[in-house]
Amino acid sequence: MMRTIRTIIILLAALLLAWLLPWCYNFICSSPSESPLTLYSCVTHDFVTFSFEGKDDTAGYDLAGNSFDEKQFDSIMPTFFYRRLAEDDRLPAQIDGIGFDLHEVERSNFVFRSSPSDLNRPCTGLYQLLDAAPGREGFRTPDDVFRITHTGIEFVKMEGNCIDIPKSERFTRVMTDKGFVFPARAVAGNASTRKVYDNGYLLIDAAGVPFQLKQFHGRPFVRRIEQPDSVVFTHAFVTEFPDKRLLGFLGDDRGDIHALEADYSLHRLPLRPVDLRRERLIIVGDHFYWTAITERQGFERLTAVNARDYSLAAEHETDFPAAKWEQARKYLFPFRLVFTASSDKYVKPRFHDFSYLALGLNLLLAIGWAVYSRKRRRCRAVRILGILVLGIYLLVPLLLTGRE
Amino acid sequence: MSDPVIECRNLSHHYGERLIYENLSFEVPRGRVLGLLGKNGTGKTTTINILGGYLEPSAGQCLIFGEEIRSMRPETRTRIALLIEGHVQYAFMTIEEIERFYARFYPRWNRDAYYGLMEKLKVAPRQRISRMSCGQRSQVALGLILAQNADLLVLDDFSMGLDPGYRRLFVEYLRDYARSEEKTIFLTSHIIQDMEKLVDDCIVMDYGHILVQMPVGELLETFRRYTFTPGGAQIPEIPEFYSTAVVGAQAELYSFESPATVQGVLERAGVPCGDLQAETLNLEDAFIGLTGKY
Amino acid sequence: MRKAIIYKEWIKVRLFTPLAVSVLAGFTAYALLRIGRMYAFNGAGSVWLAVLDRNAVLIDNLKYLPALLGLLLGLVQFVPEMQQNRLKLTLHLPFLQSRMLLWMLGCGLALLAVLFIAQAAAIWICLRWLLAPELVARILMTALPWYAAGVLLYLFTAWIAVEPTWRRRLFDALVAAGVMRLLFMSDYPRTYDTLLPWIALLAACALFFPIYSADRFRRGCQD
Repeated sequence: MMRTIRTIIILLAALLLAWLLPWCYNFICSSPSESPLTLYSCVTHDFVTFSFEGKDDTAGYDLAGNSFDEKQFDSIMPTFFYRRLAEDDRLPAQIDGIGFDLHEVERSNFVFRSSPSDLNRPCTGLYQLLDAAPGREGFRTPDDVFRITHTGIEFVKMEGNCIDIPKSERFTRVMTDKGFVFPARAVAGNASTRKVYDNGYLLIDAAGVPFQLKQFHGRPFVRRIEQPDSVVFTHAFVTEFPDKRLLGFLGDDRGDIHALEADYSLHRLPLRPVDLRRERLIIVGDHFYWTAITERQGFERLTAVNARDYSLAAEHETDFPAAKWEQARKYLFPFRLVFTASSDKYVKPRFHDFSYLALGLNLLLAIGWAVYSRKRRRCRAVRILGILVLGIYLLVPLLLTGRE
Repeated sequence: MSDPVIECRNLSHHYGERLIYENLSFEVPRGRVLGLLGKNGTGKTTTINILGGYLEPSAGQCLIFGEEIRSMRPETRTRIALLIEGHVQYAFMTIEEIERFYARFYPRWNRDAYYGLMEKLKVAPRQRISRMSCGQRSQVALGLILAQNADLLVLDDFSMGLDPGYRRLFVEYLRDYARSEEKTIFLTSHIIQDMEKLVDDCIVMDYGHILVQMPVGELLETFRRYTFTPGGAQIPEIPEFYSTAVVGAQAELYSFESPATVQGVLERAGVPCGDLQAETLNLEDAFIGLTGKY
Repeated sequence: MRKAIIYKEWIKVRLFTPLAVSVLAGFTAYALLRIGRMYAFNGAGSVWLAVLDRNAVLIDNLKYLPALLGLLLGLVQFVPEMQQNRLKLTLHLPFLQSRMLLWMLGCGLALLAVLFIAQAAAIWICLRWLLAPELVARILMTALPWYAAGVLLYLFTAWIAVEPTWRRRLFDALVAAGVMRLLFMSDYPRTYDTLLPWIALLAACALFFPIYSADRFRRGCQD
């Protein structure tokens, strides 16, 4: 039994080292990495990258490597720099045959973000439904929250912590009438009072059908959203952009992203499948084109979408090679144990970066240990093998606990 | 000889590179009081720790009541009472609490033996042992040992830190207890006069080995100090002579040999010993004679 | 004999226990009163939305208390055993040695369980009147790793205290520090939900670490 306990202690120490040693290495050796912003230019019809301030006179460059100074860059990104162009009276008359209306351009700009850590985190299951017709005083924080159960929707009054039964029944009845199958698979909304208008909530019921839910003076508004056949929605995102063109975005089980317009029409975006739980999706939209940026570790895909008809305009992928210090790490550590990740909010063990390149160092350490422990007989072979696999993670605890 | 209670066979121990002893073997017969004597660093406490199962010897075996100490059954351990050097006890308890605690572990617990001694203690009933003097703590320890009614008592330096009164108390109680109940006692102490009053047999250790193991009576009868004037002659170094020394004109040596034998050896070596004087010793002097002065 | 073991452990912790109860009760009462004050001054909505929107835990001032109690209990129980090598007395008692230690640890764990369960129950009883079950569960589940830290730190403290050599104590302390760092890495509510089974497994293993230290003590390991 003592040998088992000792083994557990040593393995625990090895696991802690597998976590802390790479962390220390990262802390000491990491260097900042550039992650430039690249958007689609409605003028050059190409992707252009914003250059960091202070880096010579270049304001940006395109994929071919052509650089642009400030004035040139402003001109090829009119929807981004419209204010500066307006001041200099350099606004274009039209883009792609469409008149350049400053007011429309300003209202059409939006940024949509979906991050895996927003989806992969513990949820309470309680939400706030604002009154969509707030009146003169603007949006107010509601005095109740709602939850969706297997049998219906329940509104809970915060003051008193009790269920508002009449309201709950009222909403449940309307939702059921509209064909909502409880419970909901996804609930998405924006409960902030700092907005101009309210699009309510987008719900995906148990059958994968999306619905919009709003509240007007305590009365329910529920609208079933007709979906294309064989599409099963899994994610929903409510948007409340100034132009009121969109209700939100929906993601389906095949990784496709659909734009939901205010008239409840659905438009599949011409993006390659996006795993929303693993990849970050940013859509930077303007009046003419949307740039969808799909990111994950070391990789970025850019997709330009025509904002008028949702057709594909351009696509580009970039692999970001690992920095030198990250490459060197592979020779030192056979793997890394991490407990947090940018893709979720959970603390749990994850093994990353398994590297056979560390075998060289492990072999040296194993030989060193074999020489050091040549007088010992017990379990020597097992320990040498362990060092060959775990490297420095196992060697250090063995050295520290060696002398009995 | 009655069957041994303690059997140590070929015990060897090192502390790092330092050898304490090698191939140490001895037995403690049932019903005897055996004292372990030796200078500091000869391995007395090491031996006690090995006997108590708190030290794994480098080699060798130690049996108590025929069982390996390190795998001893709990029932057998009820037959062994242990006094740790310094009369260490659960000092956070009071005398009542500690008795109540120990009583549950020992089926032959003799409450009267414990409280008989505690009545002599002038302490408040709720006074914790940590607040008592060294002597009072030793009395508590003694009471617990006697109450345990064990067959074997192992006492490590029982007289440490005690004044003459408490030492006498310890010696008298232990002697009466051992004789009346036929208990076996294995003990160490630095106060050899106390040992002399108490022990039947002794083991005298030197660095790395046992010098003698014999009944105390036999040791004191046969081991003598010899003094004489050597007149500058070289005194032979033979195993039969211990702690040979010349101070000024006077020489002294110690030996188990008879005066006639000693004289014969000296004369054959050409050492003048016409004024050879032999004297018997007490245990402390015999110990010094065997192990030498520092 | 088991009663005697419990009796001895009780004697060691009988001063610590009312102190721990007072500190725990005091801090818990303060945390709950603070929530009550938020209610009274800002309304129920402010409390609910603090949890919903700002991911507040409301009782985060209690975060390190279980760990502190675990550490102190470990010291109170096992430092007296190691002073003057008193563990020799304990190991000499006619009781299986590993079982003896398990009983001693069991007493400490039972005390911690009572304290922690009482605190959690008090929080639950007070909060369930004020907050929806989901929010109360969120708060209590967020607190669960803090209690786990208390249990683990108690076991680690026993492990370190019983270890006979200072060199190994340092190693053990570093391992304990690493685990504690892990348990207090994130403040996000319920972020440790998926780690809880691993923590439970670690606690089950850590129950035997002090037995290993005691075995090293018995073998006479020295610096």
